[in-house]
Amino acid sequence: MFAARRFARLVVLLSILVTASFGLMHLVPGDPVRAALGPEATAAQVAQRTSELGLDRPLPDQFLDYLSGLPAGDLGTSLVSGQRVGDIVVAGLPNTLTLAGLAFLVVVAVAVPVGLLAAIHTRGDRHRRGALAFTSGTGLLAVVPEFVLAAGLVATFAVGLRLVPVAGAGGPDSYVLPVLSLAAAPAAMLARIVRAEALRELGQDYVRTARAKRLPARLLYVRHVLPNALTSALTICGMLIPGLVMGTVLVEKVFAWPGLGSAITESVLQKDYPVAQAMVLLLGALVLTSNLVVDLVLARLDPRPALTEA
Amino acid sequence: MAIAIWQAVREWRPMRGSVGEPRGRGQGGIRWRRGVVKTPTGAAGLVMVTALLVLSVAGPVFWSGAARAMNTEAIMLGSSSAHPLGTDALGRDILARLLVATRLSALTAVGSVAVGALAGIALGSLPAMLGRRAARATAALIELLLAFPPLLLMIFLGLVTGGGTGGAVIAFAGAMAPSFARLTQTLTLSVTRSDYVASARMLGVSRPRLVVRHVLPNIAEPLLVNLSIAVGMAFMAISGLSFLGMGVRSPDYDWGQLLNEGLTRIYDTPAAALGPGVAIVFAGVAFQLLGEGAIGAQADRRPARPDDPAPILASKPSVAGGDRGSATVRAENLQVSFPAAEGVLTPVRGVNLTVAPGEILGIVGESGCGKTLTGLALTGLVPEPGVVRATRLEVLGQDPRGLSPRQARALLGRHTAMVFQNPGTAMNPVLRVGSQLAETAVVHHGMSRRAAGARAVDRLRAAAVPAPERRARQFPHQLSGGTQQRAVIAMGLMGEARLLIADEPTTALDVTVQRQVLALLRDVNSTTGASIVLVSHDIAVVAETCHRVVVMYAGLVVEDLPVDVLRSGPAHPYTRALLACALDMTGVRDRRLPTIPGRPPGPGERFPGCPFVSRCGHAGERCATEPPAMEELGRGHRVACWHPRTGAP
Amino acid sequence: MRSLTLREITVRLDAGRRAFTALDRVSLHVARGSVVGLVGESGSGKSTLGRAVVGLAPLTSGRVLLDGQDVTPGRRRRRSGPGLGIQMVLQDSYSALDPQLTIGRTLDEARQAALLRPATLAAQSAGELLELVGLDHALAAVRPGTLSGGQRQRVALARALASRPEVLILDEVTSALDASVQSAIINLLRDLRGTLGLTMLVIGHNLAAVRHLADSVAVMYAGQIVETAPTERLIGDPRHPYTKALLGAVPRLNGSVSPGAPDPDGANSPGKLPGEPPDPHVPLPGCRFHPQCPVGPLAVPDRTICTTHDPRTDARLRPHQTACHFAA
Repeated sequence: MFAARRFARLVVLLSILVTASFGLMHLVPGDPVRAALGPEATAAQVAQRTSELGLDRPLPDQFLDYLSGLPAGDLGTSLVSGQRVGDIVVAGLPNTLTLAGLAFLVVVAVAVPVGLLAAIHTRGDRHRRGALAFTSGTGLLAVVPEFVLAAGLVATFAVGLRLVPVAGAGGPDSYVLPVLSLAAAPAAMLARIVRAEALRELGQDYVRTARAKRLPARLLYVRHVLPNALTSALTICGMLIPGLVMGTVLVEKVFAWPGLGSAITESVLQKDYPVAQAMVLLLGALVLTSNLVVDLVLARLDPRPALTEA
Repeated sequence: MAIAIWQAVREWRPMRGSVGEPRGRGQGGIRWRRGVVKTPTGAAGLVMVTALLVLSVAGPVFWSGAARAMNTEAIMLGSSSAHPLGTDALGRDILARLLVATRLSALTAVGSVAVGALAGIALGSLPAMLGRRAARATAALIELLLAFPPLLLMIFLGLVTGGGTGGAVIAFAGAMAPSFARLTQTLTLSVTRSDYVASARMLGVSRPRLVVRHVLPNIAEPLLVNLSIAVGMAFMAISGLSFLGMGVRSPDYDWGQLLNEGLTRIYDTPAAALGPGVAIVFAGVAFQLLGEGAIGAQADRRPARPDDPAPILASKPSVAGGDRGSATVRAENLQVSFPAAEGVLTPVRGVNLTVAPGEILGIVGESGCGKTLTGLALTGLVPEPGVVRATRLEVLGQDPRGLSPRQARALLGRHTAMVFQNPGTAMNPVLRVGSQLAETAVVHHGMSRRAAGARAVDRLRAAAVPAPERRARQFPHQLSGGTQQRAVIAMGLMGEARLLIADEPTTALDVTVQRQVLALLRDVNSTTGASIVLVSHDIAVVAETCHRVVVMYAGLVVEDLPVDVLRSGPAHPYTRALLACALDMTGVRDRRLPTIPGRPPGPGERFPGCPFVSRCGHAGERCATEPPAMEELGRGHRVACWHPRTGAP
Repeated sequence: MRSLTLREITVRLDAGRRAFTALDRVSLHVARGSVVGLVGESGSGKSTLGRAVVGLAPLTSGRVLLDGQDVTPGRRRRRSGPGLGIQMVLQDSYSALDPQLTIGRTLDEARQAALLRPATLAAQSAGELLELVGLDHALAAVRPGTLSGGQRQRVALARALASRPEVLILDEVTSALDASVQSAIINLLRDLRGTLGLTMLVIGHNLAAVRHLADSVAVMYAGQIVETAPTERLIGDPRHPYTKALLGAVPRLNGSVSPGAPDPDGANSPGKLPGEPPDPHVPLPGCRFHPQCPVGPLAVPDRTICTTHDPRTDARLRPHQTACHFAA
């Protein structure tokens, strides 16, 4: 029932997204084809290109064309290179997803245990110095933008120490710096949040009951505290995904990574609207779907109706 | 990227529900602004932000000449003392350009936050201002905007505006407006649902006036904190856009663009890229610290550790009542203290009590008398950072403070159980009732899961839970309050309980349910022979349920008496006063009700004599100067009073 | 002071699958200058009734009359319904006062409201109001954070009195307080009633407290009033089985259990209810109390009328207006 309602919501959001991405080209002030071809192009060239792209036809027809192309993966052709947008996506997407996915795994694998351990060791105001070190350390790391961190890492480890390659996607060692620079800030933030959540849970009545039952520490923390702390931390994980995908755009630039990053930046800079449209659609769909997955997992983890219906 | 994290935090903080709720200590809204300076993080943040401000004003004034001066002799130089960050392709000094760029970076960041926050706050406060239908529509719009990640909105807006400085400002503003709208909406909602707004509405105060007078002052604090953090994020996000070439464009330049230029030379002059990078991080950290300092100023007052507690008055440990054979509980001069900003608080100042096997002992007193902490101290569950001291503390023959975790499990896990006030929160919300009961049997008795599950159902039945098989498979929230409390009691019956401590077990329940739960406790006592300590503020509940009663006042036991003496003639004036103000169903209806004037001393106060002296109608000179010791009055009846009363109350 | 009459008040809360009827055609009369107590357990709808009367809960149907004049909230988009005529002191004294405002400013807000109202006496100063409820003038300068629960409750009372209401509704005003403070507030309310001639509706779960204030008492169960009678008669001679259960469950200093004594809560003790309370989300035909009733179909299987006929239909004909087919 809950899942059905969530799916319905996803459908609504996706249709808004499709409409918005279609509308993008028509919202832009001025003539997009003129903007893409540049001031040197003649009026005839512009007109020809406009009719090639079907931009001179009535809006509803264009929209229908756009919609009918989508299921087959037909996202149009680039105004600049003439390449099919689908091909650009197929070339770059796997690299971008690998990078973002690896970073996500690193974030969760590091932040959850670190946050939980930090909570256990600093609960009830003990180890006040440790708590201060943890919060200031993670706080500092969390505000370092990934592109700055990437530049710093390159300068130190690739240029200075020559431990890893400077740029490009190659062997496993080429992943180290990009994943590290992507994962560091979100991991720091998530660790803080997990700690704060776990500390809050440790103050709940049910933990007192569990302590009164004299459960062993492992059972107390893993069985009782962790699931409750995770329900809220998981929501944050869901929100990290778009951040990671977008972060790759910046990091890809630093490492000259052959992903979608350059396609996105180039399309925006060169006003290559069909490509930009496709990128907005792709990123949006990715995020909306991952949010749905997070919601469904949350609903399974927490049986209380209030949380899942809100 | 930074903004996503920022949004994550945004979403996360209102979940605490910490705002708009009444704050216990009554800080004013203005206070944190002074408090910020006192926390080290806040002070550091303030200094850094001020430095940024000064630089953004002074930077272009002092260094724009150097930043513009081209020098064909000195193109693309590395770091040197003349050019710490080197020079660029036109021979301009990068450090000077970095300093000059502060202004544009700051202007774009502050500008976009101003635009975005203003739009968001306006949108978010609409639901509180409008009628129900319009409010619902606005809420739906906010919900819809939030479904799309801010980064997507940013790209979309960037494309529509065509980039550039203005485009970047609008893009970031648009990206964060929905989050601010949600934050404002959540905060506003918590305030408008409060009883003080309800009261103002009853007085006919108009909606806009409500918003100005009650809502805004109560949400300003968290909004300002978030604004500060948002400015830091804006520095990073707009730099990021410029770094990609989608923000500030030449001939203008900000930090992001300088980083972009520097990156191409990372091999030979890393400083050219690292300089702008450090600047961006500096700004982010500055506003982050300022925001966190503000949060810290509200939340945390550093209390002192009670390593060296002030000498605490204690009644003489008494031997009387101590020789009843093997008592289930024996506590002498039990103290519980907590560190606090005002010094050490000692809510339990020296409690002597024994619980005989098979006895139901009531601990009764007003709120703050230390009765709950006494119950927790007996089983070693006083929350940190509380410190428990006692000249003697024995529970089932062992001192709970000296037990290793393994020993504590073996002794206390098997033989003691606790029941708390609020059954709705006492069980883990995400685990099934049956499995929460069963885990005790698995851990402490080595039962198999299946056997433990069967035992759980059996114990639920013993606690008179209707349809126990079905209840065992349900989650706590699916049970009514009374049934939840029965389930918690059943949890205590999983082992061979010899001591059950029930802390206000019926206060949150209706009277008809209260009666059933009290009957269950008596039933458990008579069938299993377990001792029960019943902590309650309600002297009638205690009188009805217990065999013996301990009366606590200001962290001390003032009287210890059998229940029939409680009814026929307690000796301490406080006990008699408590009985007199207990509302009952029989006395004359329109008589003036007796009250106890004044307040009990707080946990931080000291008193040389009897704690009750200022409220007592029978106090003499000695009462104010000398603490009365526990004296035996009759069989099992002891009282700490210089002038004990006799006769019926 | 005027009389308060509630006619067939119905409140449905929430929407969709979670909707339920919190109040089902509740009628009640509080005569001029009298005090009526409304008792019931949590979820019985007693607080909702108070909130609906002052316009804080949505009224589905029914009317609120002050001396026969219709002041029903929410009619024709009138903003505040009974206006200042009915004031309510809310349950939670901790959230009842704005933490940012001093006590003086909180009272000022109420005094200003009173000044806008025609034909009222000159509003009292904040100091006079504080004095009226037995507090020191100096408290006007402090914020609520430093006050005790009893003091907050007194301030909330002063705020309600500032606008000189015709009717005062008190929602569980003493329940979170220590016994002695509770008695002091009850004494204060009785004094105020004497000096100001207040008409009051006192909502509470504690019969022992309500008994000291109210001239008559109405008992609520699951959104319906099941019995109404003058206080002494209701306590001395309850008719509805639920009222009996409620009275039987009040803990008494003298009702006891000495060690080894037989359990006073045998199966037939009046405080013991069989069964579980009904789910408010599921509409129940007949008497709403029948799933828990000790004299209903659970105990006597041939009493099927309880599951089919609403006992309120003939309530007026029975003593204490008891909504029970088998009222003793």
